[in-house]
Amino acid sequence: MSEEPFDLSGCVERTRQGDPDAARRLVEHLYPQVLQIVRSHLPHRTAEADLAQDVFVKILTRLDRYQPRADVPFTHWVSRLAVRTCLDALRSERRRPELRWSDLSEDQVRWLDYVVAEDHPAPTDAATGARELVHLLLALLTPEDRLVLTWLDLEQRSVREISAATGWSVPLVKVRAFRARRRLRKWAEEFRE
Amino acid sequence: MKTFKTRWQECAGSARSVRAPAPEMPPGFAARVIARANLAAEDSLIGLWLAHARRALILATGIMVICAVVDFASRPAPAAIRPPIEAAVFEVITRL
Repeated sequence: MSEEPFDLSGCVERTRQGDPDAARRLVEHLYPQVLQIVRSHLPHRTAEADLAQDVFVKILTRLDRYQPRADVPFTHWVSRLAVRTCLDALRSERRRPELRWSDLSEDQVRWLDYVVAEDHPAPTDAATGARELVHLLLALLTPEDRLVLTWLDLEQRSVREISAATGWSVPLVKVRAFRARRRLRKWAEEFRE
Repeated sequence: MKTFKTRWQECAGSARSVRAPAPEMPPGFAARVIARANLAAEDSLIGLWLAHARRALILATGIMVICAVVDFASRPAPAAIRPPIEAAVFEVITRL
């Protein structure tokens, strides 16, 4: 027997009317979407579950502000709210983490050498090292730049998707991506010297 | 020759192949969120009242200070502090 499709708009409406069961189902339905955003933009010293909770509390307390529009479906509204909450949390981090050579593993060093220098071969069997290095380098960027490159380069979202999820214009997303990669290159080269 | 952007994106591509664990909601997460949201709704009403009360108090204090200053400035100086001797001396000197 197949499950009934989830009635998102109905659940939103019942949650607005104060139905706790509907609120619970709404949280369960949105959890994967919110957690993906939170995981991509988690500040250094913040627990994933804490930030996800903050996002959901905002969703529930601001639900009456959501006006259904054709160009802003509910999931986009949720994305924008989650992104803003994560950016606020990243901005409130007093200092961004420092990257120290001694902290890098052998695989991370091999990937850093490849990314920065043209004459190093690409590592073929160090995917975990690549993932760790990517997250270390992204953590050095401003929250907005980190968000753009995480979604564009790591999660392969399109510029239009990022524009819809953040509310930023398409040209702004492109400019941010260009500047972020330029900064990343500069830091990576300086760090490697 | 590959550019930095290409090499960086290759690195990101390799990173993508490492699968993150599927998001699983911890037990009781939804209940905690709903409880916090209900508390936040109550706090926001109290906060609204406090924010306006504070502003009204600041405004009232400012108006009171301004009225006091204006009142004080518009009063004539009492006779006791008028310097009659000095005024007389000044008048004599200026007539000389």
